[in-house]
Amino acid sequence: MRLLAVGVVIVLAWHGALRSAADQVRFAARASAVVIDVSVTDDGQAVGGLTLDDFIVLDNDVPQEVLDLSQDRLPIDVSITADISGSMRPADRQIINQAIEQVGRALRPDDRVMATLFWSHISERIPLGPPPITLTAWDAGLNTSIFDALLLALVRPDLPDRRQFSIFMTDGMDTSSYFDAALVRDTARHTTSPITIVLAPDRAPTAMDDLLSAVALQTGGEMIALKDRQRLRETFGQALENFRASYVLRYVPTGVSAPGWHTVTVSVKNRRYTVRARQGYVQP
Amino acid sequence: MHRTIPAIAVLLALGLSVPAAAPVQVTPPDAAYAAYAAGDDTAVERWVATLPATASPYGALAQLRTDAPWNRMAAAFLLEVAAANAHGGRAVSALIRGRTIILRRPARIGDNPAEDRFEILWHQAALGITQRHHSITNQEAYLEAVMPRFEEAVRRGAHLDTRFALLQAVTAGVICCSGMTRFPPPRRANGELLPGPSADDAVRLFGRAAEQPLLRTEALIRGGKLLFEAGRHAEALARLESIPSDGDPALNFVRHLTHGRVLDALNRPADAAVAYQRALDANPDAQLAAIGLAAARLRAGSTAEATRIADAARRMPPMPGRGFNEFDAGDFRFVPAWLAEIRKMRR
Repeated sequence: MRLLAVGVVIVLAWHGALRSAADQVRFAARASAVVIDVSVTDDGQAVGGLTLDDFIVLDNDVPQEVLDLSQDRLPIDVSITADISGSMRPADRQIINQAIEQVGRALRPDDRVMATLFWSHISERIPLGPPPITLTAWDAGLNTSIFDALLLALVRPDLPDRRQFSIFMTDGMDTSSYFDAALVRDTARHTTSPITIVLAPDRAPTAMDDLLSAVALQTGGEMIALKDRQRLRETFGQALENFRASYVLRYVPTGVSAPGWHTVTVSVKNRRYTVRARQGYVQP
Repeated sequence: MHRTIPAIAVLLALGLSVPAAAPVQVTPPDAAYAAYAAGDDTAVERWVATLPATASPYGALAQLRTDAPWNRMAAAFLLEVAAANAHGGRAVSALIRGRTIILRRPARIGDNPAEDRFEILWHQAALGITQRHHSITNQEAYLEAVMPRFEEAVRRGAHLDTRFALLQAVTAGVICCSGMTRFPPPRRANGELLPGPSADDAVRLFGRAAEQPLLRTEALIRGGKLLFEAGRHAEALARLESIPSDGDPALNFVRHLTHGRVLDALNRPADAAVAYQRALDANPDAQLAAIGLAAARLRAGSTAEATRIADAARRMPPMPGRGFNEFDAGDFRFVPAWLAEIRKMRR
């Protein structure tokens, strides 16, 4: 027992020192460095144990040297945005509440979570704070402003000591957005954290699906079409775990100084794996 | 071009059966008319509140018959009936009847300034009420019915301050570009469908309205918004940036919000952020302005500021109409003031 306790103390001390050193590097180099969350999966399962040498990064097709790679080292801020408009079934409300609360339960004490619900209005229900969380009952209007809510969901902070992850759930039936798809697409190019979009089940495909998919891919997230609404909790939980298992990769762009949009391609030497990372960044 | 939309068709379009198809026990208008004529400004509103939804409000009063001669009191009474009715069908019916009486005014426009003022206010209030009911078919038909009379007066050299030029542009803009369908669609006498105005027609009409100093700001804002929605961003920007200064507070929010959208579309996020901030200043609880501002700040590279604004946006309370209510009400926002003036002139 004593041996175990000593071991835990050593592990924690090592972890803390590593994190502190990594943060210093991350912070010091941030002005010129590009930091990207990279998810690597094999048949849906996160792949761990990769090293710097496993990654290939191209910035505007120019190979880059990866300076730093970390996994599961920094606390996470999770932002959940859920569609509760009139087109969502009343029975879904309880399921959405439970799924959001489940994310809270899956977080660690130093993680944080916020929950936002939307119809034509977008309303914060749980401000950013430590888990766990409890959602109370809520009322909503009939209309749905998906573009407007998505724009807000894409605005996330860029903090050196915390990772940002967003989950956005909707049935894809927009009826009242003021903003449009073009603005959402453009804004997605400027966000630095991934957003995973969960589509409600029992719905016909709409033109919105392409946009939602493009936004998710742009940011390095994914779009998940839910097959069974009872699996929403599991889906939210899996999305969070996939993000936690993803890598944080840092490089200083070399040979590509031009301002404007930079296309970034991240791959791993084992081509079997599926790699998700944001598709680029805007150089001021 | 003169379009005729029979009143009965308009009523049918609004989903009403023709009044008196099923007899309904109603209080006749006689007492309310007498009280209103004696100076009781709220008599009509109180009486209308007692009417069943489908009841005809005209009774047998000779002054209110469709063939009644010009009579300020009867016209004012019918306008009150229209204004007091939340139900679009009865409001439009009263306006058509009142307009018929008004158009029988013997004096030519331009010959009697006091009567001209009464008639202009009456028509403007009537059009404001049709805007309230989002009744584009009636709005178009109304303008078609009254405009020849005013155009003829202008040709004679009469100087008239009216909002008709703007209302024509607004109506054309709704028909061409809002997706709202005219029902029943207007037809020529031979049954041929009449095409509606194009976006170019609406833009031209907004330009014409902007030539009148009293209409200039609103015409530029509404015209700029139409151009933005039509994807003509450079033209929209030119119009919005030619507005000399803030005017009607009901319009400032939409003016700056639209300006922000235009600048966003032209890939000028830093300038768009300034416009969205002005929209937020005009309407501090308007979530749309805050969303636009947060997204523009992010695209301009100010992530921390964008995050702060986005957090504030999520905490804003819901707002009826999302800040567009007054703008969308159009000239209905002036109806109370116009009605008050008409009451003073009704005798």
